[in-house]
Amino acid sequence: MKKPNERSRKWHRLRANDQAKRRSDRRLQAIWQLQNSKRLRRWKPKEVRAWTGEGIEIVLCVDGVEHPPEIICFYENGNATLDFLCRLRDRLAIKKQPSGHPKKTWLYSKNGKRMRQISVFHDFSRIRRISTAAAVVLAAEYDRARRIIGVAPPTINLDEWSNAAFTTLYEMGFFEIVGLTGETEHRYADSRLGDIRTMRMISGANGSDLQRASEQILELSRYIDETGPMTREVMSGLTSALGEAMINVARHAYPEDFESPFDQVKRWWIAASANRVERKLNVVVYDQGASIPRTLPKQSWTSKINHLFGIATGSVPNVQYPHDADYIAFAMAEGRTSTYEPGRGEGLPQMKEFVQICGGGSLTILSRGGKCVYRPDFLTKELLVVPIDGTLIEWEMHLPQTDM
Amino acid sequence: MQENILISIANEFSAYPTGRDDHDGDFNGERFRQLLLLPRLKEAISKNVKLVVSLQGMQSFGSSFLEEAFGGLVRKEGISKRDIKKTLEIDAGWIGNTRYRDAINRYIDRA
Repeated sequence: MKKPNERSRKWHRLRANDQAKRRSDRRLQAIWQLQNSKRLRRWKPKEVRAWTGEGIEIVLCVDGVEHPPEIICFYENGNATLDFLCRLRDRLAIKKQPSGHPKKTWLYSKNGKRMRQISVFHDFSRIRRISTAAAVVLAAEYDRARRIIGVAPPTINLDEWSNAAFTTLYEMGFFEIVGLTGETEHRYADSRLGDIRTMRMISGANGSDLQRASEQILELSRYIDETGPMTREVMSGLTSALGEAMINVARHAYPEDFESPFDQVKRWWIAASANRVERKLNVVVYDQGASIPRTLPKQSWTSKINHLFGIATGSVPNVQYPHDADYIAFAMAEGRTSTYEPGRGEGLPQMKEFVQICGGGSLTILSRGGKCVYRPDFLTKELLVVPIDGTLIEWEMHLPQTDM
Repeated sequence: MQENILISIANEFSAYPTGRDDHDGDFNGERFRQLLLLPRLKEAISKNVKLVVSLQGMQSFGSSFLEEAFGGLVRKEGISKRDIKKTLEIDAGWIGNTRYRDAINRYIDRA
């Protein structure tokens, strides 16, 4: 047999690689088909009740059901909560269209059938607890979808929702977002939770709604005790910090060069909850923007951060964004500005300062792949296995007993 | 002797001022500086009297607003720190507001 020359050997090598790749692709395709057929075999299309603004409609759910975790909370069940919210976003958020108005309908007719269909729905019947912060992220996702499409996604099997999920979301104003108002009042009267009240969520694009937010929080705090548990100093500290959070969103959260895969409404969402027994007030500000770590790396001094926090050492955790907690911590220090303009970089420090004005409590910031919790003179950092979309800021205040 | 000139931010502008410019909201630092603070500061300097800015009744003291309004006097309007220090007096109103009075002085010093 003739000995192959170099050119022939190269040709055979390339052909072998190509065939291996084709075999691999076919294998992956076969696995996908198998999994898909299993999923379809497991899920038989079934009728569900879709609550839309126009009434209740029986629709056919064709692809399956998503089960959220029983506890939806960034602190008690962080990874599962973030994973659920990420999947929810993938279902609800509108992918950017190359041109024209986004085309998306929640309920659709197929093959001329009378009964409309829905692909997948989220079963909220097993939720035992949903924290205010997680509820804000969830409600913001529905709100974004409504603002872009003009119609909110329908709520499915609402009558089976757990009281915990229903009550928190009702008080937050979720059902107004999805176009259900009168239908839910009756149930709320029967299911309201005893010790916790949630503020109606508000949304805006800059600091113009500060007064409204501040007054709503003050009103909510009277649920803890009617005399008003927040001192004048605490209230003005909170209002100032909230204002800074609002304008941070207006100025930095949605930069022009931010290429999100989803359509953006460029807003913030604020909600709060009061726990009468624990005398605890939680205030949450959320945006779906570029995140704090994303807006920092364009700065030249990020190379110094990278150096400081050990990229070069290789001692980095196996997560998507291994330095985001450090970036957030860095941004929280005084004078850290993303614009280099003089007099900037006071916003996040003022949000921190409020914790000291309170004399306790905490400030938690989740942004992309990082989480920082600030308590007076004490900061803890954590990395998120599943990143959060945007930035979430939460203050937790423990309000002392007032003298009667 | 002429009387001092007064500004009450809460009564004459807003109890909830926020942000730097119109992008941040209606009651921003730039607008306050241009509408009220700068004209009255110039008047006070020319009359050689004090300009007293009262924080009484304010519900929010965002650093962006305070820095833009007061730090902006130096950075953007070119008023000398010496003239500002000599003329401007911040009336905190009550003890809880003293931290914001100190912040204003800091923003002027750093500008």
